[in-house]
Amino acid sequence: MLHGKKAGRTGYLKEKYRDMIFYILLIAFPVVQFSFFWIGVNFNSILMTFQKIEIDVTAGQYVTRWTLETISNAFQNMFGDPAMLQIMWTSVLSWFLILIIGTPLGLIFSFYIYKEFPLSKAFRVILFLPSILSAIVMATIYNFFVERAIPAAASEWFGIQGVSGLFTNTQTRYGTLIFFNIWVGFGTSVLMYSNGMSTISQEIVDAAHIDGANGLREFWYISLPLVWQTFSTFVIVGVAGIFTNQINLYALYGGSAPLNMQTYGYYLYMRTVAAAGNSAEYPPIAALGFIMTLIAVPLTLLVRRLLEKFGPKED
Amino acid sequence: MKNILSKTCAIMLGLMMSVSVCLLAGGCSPESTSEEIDPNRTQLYVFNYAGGFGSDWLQAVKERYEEYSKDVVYEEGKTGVQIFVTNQKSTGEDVAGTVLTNHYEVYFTEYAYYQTLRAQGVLGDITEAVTGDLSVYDGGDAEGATIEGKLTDEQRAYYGVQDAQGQVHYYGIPHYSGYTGLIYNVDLFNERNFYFRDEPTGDTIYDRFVRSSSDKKSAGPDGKHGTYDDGLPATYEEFFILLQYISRNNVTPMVWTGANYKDYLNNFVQALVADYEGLDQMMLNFTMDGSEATDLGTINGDGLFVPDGEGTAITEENGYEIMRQAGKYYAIDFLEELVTTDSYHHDLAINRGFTHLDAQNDFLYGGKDNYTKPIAILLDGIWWESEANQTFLAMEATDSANSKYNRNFAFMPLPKAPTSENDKITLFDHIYSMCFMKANIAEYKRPLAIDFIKFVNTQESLVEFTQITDTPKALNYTMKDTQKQSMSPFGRSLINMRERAEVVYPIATNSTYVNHQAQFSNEYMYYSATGAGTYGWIAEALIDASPNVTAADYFAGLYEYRKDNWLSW
Repeated sequence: MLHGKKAGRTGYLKEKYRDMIFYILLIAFPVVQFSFFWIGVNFNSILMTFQKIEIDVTAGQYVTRWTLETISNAFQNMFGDPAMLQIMWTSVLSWFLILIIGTPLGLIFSFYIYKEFPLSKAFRVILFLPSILSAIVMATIYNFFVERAIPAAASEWFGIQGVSGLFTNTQTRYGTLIFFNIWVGFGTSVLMYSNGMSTISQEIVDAAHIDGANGLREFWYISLPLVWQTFSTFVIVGVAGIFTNQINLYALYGGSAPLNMQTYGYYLYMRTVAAAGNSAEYPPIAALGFIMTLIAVPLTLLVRRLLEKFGPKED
Repeated sequence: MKNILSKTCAIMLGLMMSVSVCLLAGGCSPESTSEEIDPNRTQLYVFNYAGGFGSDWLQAVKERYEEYSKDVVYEEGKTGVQIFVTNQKSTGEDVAGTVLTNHYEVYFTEYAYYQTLRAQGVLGDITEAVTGDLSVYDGGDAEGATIEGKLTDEQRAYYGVQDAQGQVHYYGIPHYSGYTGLIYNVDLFNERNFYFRDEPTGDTIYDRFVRSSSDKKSAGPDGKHGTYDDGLPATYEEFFILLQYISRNNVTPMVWTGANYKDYLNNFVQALVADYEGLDQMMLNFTMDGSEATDLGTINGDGLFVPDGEGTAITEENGYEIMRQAGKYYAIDFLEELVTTDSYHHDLAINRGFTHLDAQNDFLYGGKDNYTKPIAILLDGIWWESEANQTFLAMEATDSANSKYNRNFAFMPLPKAPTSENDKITLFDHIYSMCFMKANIAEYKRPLAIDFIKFVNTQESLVEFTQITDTPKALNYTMKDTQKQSMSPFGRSLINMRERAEVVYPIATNSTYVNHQAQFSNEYMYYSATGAGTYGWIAEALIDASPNVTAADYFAGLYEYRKDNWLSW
């Protein structure tokens, strides 16, 4: 009996040991990646926020000193320079538009595909296409389509002359950009939502229909609550990325996006490119990023709390 | 069955992870080259930015150098040298992080910022190469000739770094040139007589142009008859009259890329400013050495430029004052007329779907196929012929008269505003091209790298580079007429102009410039706080802004923006 107890305990420990090895192997890669690509990168950025780096031309090396001047200048730039305020406004507006237009459409398309309504497979391909092709290929095709094909079609097919490209025309430029972002954003969201919806038990759906629920009610009371966690994740990730999202400006415009369409994600990227590896130019950029983190973190936590509190419950 | 499936999945997952880890570690990155390593010779690994200037020039110099050094021993047990070239499109910034760890030993690249790379500790000392006698190679250099002697004063001050003992050290040297300007179709100009007459015969626009090649042309920008630029527009006013005349002749006056019109036109404005201001005044934008800026001014209530009564010394403290240079105002004013008058340029000149290759295609095919209107002038960089090589070859395949050696294009001297006091041609080089050796090169290979860098910059090699690329290196040298014969007409016109011109290299050693080099680029330098918002691209503001932004508004905003942001970058 005692022996059996001992054997049982050893077996349990062995199993725990094996589980631990499995767990370590599973988690090692993401932990290493997180350590390098998040902690490593951002730790240095945070340090740079409080540094001024200068090149000593004679010695041919960088000289670093600690200062609050960098973050103070960044703060003044961010909230005192009208151009920076414009960039902040565009960042928030773009996120908001993509959220309020893209998310409901994503949910509706997902529901449509999940219910296997007519042409749902064709929709699935069209919506996934941007995710299959590279962003640069998509941007090039889209650029050519809105700039060259639409004016040509207007002229050839409808006899309307003088139609300018949708990016050339200042009135249609921003809308054309947002449309592109919504379209290329469908792939991931539709995949996630429709997969989430496909896990819903058919018995629940049938029961709802027997109780008189139509398609809209099914969507509202059954499908939406069951994909709410996925929806919340998208919204939270979106909020966290308000200040890092380039809204595909680089793919579409290269280095010359109009200033009134630039987001902070694009602006910071382009400033880093323009710095051309010169560490002396990095602290002001790091300081801007740091301030944005200070804004984005509480905002993200707040949105998460609100979504948890006011979102529908599965029960 | 389930087991087999799980195992298969596990193996596939494992393979995918291995491949991704392997790729992340950079261990599996292939290097495209067809050349085998010769174990009997010493290799020198050379990195080349193979963009618009290509790599043919390097292949040519490699072959000559390998022949020259076939009996030289750099390494025990090996005789001769193999120059192993890798061509990639990575700028100085791109390669900086890996210079010390990869195997390339000598680099030829562009957008390489000297002081930044030096501070990163990746540049090796090449003083011996820069100050060594080039005549030893028998490559057409006089005895005692050095690379240092081929540098301009500004380049010597920038690349030559004094140590604490007062010794000058070089860690890099300029490589090729990059100017933006106007390329005109000489054949078309000749055929349609797009040249100003010496004396107008009446008051109409037609009376200002020659009717046949026997009519006497105007003196052109250099003010002298019987020279290469006779009949070309000398002033901004004449330039626009020419564009009107061209347009009335059912020819598209100008074309440039619509996809990148903003940066191309900013580069063009900078070229106009340099040509207006001249070398010394233009260099003040970067050196801020306390010298006096002589033509600063402001915009008066009527929107006109009013010069200051006296000069202003430009230092690092008040460097923003240089934004009030007259040349900047006149260049922006020029651009305003150019971009806001539809008849002066191609329909797609601001269309994002119209790339630089499309612009070059239309320029070359214009008047040659059945549907493209002839185009008189292309606004582009001097490397355009290399980029358009495929088009040249395709056209040549149907008619040899269309080869780049038979088509007659030329680099146009820029017109000047009448108030300019610069009587020379001043070019602006914005490409920051550089040659350097890695800092941690193996000691036994150092003499080889030094020798190769010297060899690449002998007179013979410089001439060869120019003949192959049809563009000049960023060094001072001249070519004999016989040496120019093998070049394309465009290349000849360019090198001729280069020999007559002074060149602005936007480089300086002061702390403000070195630590904020991006702010002195052709984009950030032209940020302007206008009534319609802040703009970095001049043409964009002039075309798009609402309410309308004029050249005067933009010019005034340049100063405002620069002053408000000076040193707070």
